[in-house]
Amino acid sequence: MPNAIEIENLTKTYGKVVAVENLSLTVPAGTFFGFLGPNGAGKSTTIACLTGLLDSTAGSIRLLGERFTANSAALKQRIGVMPENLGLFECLYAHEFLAFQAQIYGLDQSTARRRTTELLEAMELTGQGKKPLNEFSAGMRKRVAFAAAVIHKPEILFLDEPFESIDPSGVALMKQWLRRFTSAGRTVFLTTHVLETAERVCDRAAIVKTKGQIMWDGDLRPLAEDRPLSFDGHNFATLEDLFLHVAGERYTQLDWL
Amino acid sequence: MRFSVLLTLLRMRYTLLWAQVRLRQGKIVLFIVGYLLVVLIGMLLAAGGIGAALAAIQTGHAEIVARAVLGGFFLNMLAASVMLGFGLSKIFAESVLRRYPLTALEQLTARQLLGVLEPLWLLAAALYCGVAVGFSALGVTVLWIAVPAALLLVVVNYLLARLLQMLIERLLASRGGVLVVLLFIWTFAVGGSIVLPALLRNPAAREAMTQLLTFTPPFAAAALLSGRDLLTQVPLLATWTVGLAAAVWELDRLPAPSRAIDGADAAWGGPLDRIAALFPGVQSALVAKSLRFYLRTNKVRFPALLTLPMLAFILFAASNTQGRRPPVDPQPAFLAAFFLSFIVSVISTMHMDNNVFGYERSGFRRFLLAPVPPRSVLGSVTIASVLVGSVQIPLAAAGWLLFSPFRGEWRMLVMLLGNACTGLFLFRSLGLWVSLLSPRRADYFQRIGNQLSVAGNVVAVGSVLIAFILPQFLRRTVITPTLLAYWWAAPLAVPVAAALLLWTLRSGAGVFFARREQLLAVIEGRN
Repeated sequence: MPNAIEIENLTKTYGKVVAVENLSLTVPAGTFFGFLGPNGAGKSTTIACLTGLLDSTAGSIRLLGERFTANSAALKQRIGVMPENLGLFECLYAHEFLAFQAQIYGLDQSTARRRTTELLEAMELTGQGKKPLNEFSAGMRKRVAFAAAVIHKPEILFLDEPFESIDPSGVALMKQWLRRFTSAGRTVFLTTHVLETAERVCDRAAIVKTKGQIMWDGDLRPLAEDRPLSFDGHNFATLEDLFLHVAGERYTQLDWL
Repeated sequence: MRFSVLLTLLRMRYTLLWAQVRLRQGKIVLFIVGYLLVVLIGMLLAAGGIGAALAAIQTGHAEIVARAVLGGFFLNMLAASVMLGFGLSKIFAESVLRRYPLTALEQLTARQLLGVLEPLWLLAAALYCGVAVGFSALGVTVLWIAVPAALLLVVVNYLLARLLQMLIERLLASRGGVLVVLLFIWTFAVGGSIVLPALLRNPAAREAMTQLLTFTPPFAAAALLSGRDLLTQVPLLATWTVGLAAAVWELDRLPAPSRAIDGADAAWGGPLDRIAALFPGVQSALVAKSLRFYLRTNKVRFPALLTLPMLAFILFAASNTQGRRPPVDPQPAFLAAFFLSFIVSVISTMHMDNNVFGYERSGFRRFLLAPVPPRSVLGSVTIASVLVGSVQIPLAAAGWLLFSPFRGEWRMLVMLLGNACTGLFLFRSLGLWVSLLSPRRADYFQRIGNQLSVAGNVVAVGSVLIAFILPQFLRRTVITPTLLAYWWAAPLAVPVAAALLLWTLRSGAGVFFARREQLLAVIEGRN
């Protein structure tokens, strides 16, 4: 299987602050990949570089076999992004935003409208025709952002914390779609702090610590077969156990609490 | 009421302010210069207040001069805050303060206390206190009465501005509210300009109006500063304060207005989509989005409705000399029209044009993620702005043709149209540069209030003020026939302005791409 994402020695600095340093990673096509790590580990910065939001300071990125930069309009058309802060145009209604996304990513008007209608129905967002997005609840906004990321049927989907704030039935639906998405040879690159979800949906994962330094990168499928993950001479029955071992478990006693 | 909590929030406001400016060296300098300027203007106003008090007492008309100074400044502060949006920004939104264990009264007090400490109101305090100190220094009144009266006038001034702002916001959020506000402004402006001169000519009516005005806060404060009617004026000023505070309290407790229609189905192919469909490819989607961005905010809709009546009123006022014959120029209305024509297509969109990305907040990153070149993004917002702004030009021209006294003079119409088109392109060009180089994170749904950066204010408010004020200064020196002799220059300026806009779109696209990380940081509130 060819690689969907290839990152080589990616470095991103903000002035003197190093957010990501020499990150190298490959994700084969058709993988549901979890990019995990504690707060401030450089996950969002990495996604920002991978989606063209930020320029990398050094290193190279290849998506779908082609070199990717912030200028790569043709490649951008083949990826879908659900950003951390959703990136919604607050003045638009949900259907206008989705149709806009579809057309910007190259769909013709009739296809854009048809897919928008289908997505709104599937995401239980119908009947919101004259409600600007700023008046949507947090969960509804997330659903809209998810729909906007998939509407043009991208080949790689970048999802930054997609499941938070969404009710269980919505999450189940999204997972079902994403599994179908990857089984068709498409790739999902997911960051989340909900390790149980990552354990259930991801085929592979990488755990980064600080500055995007990969501490562990491996196959998660053994967990689905009730087999432990082996690392550093230990066996881990859950992804959370592995994460705490890699990221470092903290014990601080607050007497007053 | 826990004053320690209020003080903590007050400290937090200045900590946040400092946190925002310390990120960059240039910002610190700008911040210090800005505050030094406020202190300097404050000192000048205080000195002016003292001087006015001295002059008032020397002329023997202490109370009358105090009324004029305090009343004039009171109205100016209202105009600066309610119309231009200065001094009424929300430091802590209600939703933010709700997270803290504060009572409703503490939340309201905290927000209004922070509001009244904004620089605009400190300037008002400087002037009012200057007058108070002047009066007490010359023994007309005592300091312990004069200064509290002046400070109370600041509070009343602020509360009235806040109340008007809240009322207008609520009206603008309701269906048909825009028309109510427009009607109110018309009644106030036109009615005032017709009724006031008539009243002033009639001594009985003038006397009755003066009696009525004695119940207003500036007149009550003026009476207090003059050492008169302590027993009636103190309760009057206190009643104003309590009454306005109660009104603000009541309005503040009402739920936030919404224009959303629950249960409405998605509607396709409206007029905006049809207009946008005239543009090819992805530009069509971008233009449709940008048109909605401009037309769904009262920051555009309200001024769009107000522009032509307001300009017509200014022209009417300029031509209505009422016995004051201009010494040189017999046609001041044309001179006013000449300058106003530059901004006729600008007023409605100026708030958005000068911060075109700042209102998008997190939506801004969609422009960077999307597979479209920066030039298309800049082009679409410019097209939308030009389309929205240009609507005013034929309407203004029709108004000029129908109502101006110079119907036979075609050169005037050519000049005015030329200026309007030049302004249309020139100010979009300037607005793009301001948006790219000096953006500011702003709230799209805040209905009134000034959210522009300093550069944005210089271009937006500065251009409008220049167009309003310059004819007043030039009416003695610029002669209409001389101006008309150069009528051909106006249409020639249009392609120059259009070329400037095209150049801005081309070179601005490079700046957009190069500065996109800084833009993202500012617009998403990380810088």
